[in-house]
Amino acid sequence: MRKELKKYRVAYMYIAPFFILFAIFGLFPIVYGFYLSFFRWDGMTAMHFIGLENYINIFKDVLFWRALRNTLVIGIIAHIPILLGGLALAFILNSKMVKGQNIFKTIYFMPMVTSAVAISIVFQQMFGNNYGVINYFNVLLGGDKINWLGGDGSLIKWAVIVMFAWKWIGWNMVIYLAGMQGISNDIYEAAQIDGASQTQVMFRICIPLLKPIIIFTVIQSTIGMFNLFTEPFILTNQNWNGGTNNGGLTLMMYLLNKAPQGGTLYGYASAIAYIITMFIVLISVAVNKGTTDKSDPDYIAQQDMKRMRKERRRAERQKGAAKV
Amino acid sequence: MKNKVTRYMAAGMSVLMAAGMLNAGIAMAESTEAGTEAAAAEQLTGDPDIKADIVVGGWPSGDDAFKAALEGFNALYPGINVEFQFTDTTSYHQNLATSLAAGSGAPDVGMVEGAYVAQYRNSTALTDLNTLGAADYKDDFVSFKWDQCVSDDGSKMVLIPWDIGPATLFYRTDIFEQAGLPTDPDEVDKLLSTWDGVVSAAETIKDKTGAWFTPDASYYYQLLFQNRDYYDEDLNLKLERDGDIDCLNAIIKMREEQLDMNVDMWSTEAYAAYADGTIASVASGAWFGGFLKTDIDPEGAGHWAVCHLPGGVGVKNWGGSFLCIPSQSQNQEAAWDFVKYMLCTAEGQNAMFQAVDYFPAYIPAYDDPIYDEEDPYFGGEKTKALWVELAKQLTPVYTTQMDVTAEGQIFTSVNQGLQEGLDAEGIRDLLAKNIDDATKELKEQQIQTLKDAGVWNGD
Repeated sequence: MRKELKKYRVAYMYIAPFFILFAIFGLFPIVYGFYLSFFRWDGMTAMHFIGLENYINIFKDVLFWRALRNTLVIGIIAHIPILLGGLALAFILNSKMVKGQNIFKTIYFMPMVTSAVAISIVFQQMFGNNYGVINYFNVLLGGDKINWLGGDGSLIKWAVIVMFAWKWIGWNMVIYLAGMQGISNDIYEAAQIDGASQTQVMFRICIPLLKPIIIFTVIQSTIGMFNLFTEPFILTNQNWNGGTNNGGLTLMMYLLNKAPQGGTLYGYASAIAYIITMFIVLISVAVNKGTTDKSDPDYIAQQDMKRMRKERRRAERQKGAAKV
Repeated sequence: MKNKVTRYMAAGMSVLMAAGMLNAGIAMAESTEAGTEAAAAEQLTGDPDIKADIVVGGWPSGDDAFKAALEGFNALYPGINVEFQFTDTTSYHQNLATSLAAGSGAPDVGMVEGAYVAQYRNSTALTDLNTLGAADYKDDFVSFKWDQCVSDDGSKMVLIPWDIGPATLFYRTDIFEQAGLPTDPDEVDKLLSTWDGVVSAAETIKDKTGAWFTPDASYYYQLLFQNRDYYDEDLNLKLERDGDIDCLNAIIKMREEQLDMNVDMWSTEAYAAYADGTIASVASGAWFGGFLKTDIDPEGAGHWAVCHLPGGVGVKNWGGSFLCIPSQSQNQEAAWDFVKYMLCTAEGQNAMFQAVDYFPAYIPAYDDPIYDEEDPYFGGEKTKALWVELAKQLTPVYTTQMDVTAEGQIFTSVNQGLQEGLDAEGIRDLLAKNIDDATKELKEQQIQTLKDAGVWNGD
């Protein structure tokens, strides 16, 4: 081990900067956050070790469950337009039906790189009760004024869903488009020669071949869903509890409300952060597992390799034991 | 050179500390009025020898305030060089909390928002200002604010009050006039002195002009708690107040008859409505006058006026901030000189008040003739005199770390109750439940803090 370190000294030195920075700014906070999650500490006065109390209190807090439910509702409903819209747009742009592909790519991608605060302020105006443009058309078409951001709080979610979907459709589209362009033209041509329709090309060729990319985007936007904070926060006029009836309270808002932005309950907030991380890991694993195709030759080969390696190791161990 | 400064400072510090303790002792031994006179009469003489670079941190428009008073400060302390590090309120407090916990990176003088006072006053990372001589100024400050600075165990004071926000009703005289209502502040006071009076005035205005009376009626209920005295010393929530049911009934009625605009008073929609004359009045702290003048309705001179809070709510404070000196500061003496000039002299406080409308918590500042001036923006009304009158009536309250979160529940809970058609008692119960839900962990932290301070009587 030591010898190897010495032998590859130069190589280790080249990769060191990343690991040093990661250790200071990544690893240390992660570990320290875990340590903090067992304490009650406001960053000002003495720290008190309280074991698992933070975790227990979080699971007992009705607001936590409300935040989780809101986050899931917003995330799941928003994923329908994100996935379908993204795929459809990418397919249309890829099929050479439209000119100026790059212009459309840029336009659809724009929401992703625009400041969330700026977008939220614009949407807040649009969803306004008395002067909002959406209610203006609503009244024009003979409807009633709808109090989107106030009322009983149930409609804030819809405003957030619209913003969330609007933002992520473009991102997904760009990734899908890149994926589609990575699919060999030969396959398309073969399909054309065989007389496949556009729908068949989409569902029989595009989507199956894009699967790894779709999984990637689902995991990305799931993380985006758990990180959702700015949009509901601004829409509710910076209300830390998500507006009326906690309608816009998301998990990330619940966390940041405790610390560091809305308060200084560092221990409690660390515990929430770890719970959210667990959710993200669980969902990512579930998405990966749930979408593995058991009849895929690659998958079968991989499983075989794993089994073989395991057996070899067991055999070696037995050999070692026999020697002793 | 640097060595010399350090040595000088060390000597200065110890002298100051000794003086501070001595002063505190004297102040305790002697009667209080003698202390007041001495401190009020005291004029800062300055110190041309002290040399230091200090960093002052906070959020806008605090920097504008300091810059306005900086010339006067540098005339007394030419050797102290002040650098400003200002950012928005949330990031600033986040940075301050982090750098205090980390032990480095904090400014020499930091602003602290009123909302955070119950946490910061117990911080072990801030210098006890009494050791620097703050105790001398106790009777010069509005006690409502001063008492909030003292740590829960009463042993130290790490914050010092800057400003207060005597709350008043801001109303549009043009709309009142159009509706045939009186516009003179005294008469408007009389008209709106009961909640019934408020509702009938709102009805008249809606009838005659079509304007809404207020952005969101639920803020009337918040006025009852505006001093942030939600809890007693055993941390029991005390929501029952004189006239609270009348107030809630008035809110229910106003919402039914669509007399309020039904938007948050801080929303962009409400801001637009203040300026274009579709909202007739709004209650807020004195600093709201500055908002109106510079931001919301700069062209509105002459059609705004100020009167007492409606519905017999009484005297309330809305907002106001504090200054602190982190223990990690290497320039505590210079930092204290800065704080002392800015907050504990009429000159400093009034220069800042005129720049940004932060209403001083320092009582001797009110002797200045500017407080008797007529304000042309408010139709020549003597608004500052009214705020001074209110400031002097503020009495100390018991504040906790849960107060701000509790306050945040009022708007949403009342609106939820109105939406669900609850009656006044129902809304109050709903609010109590929502506050309990939202403050759970904060309450645990507050109990911990009180236990650490040795003043917790509970289990």
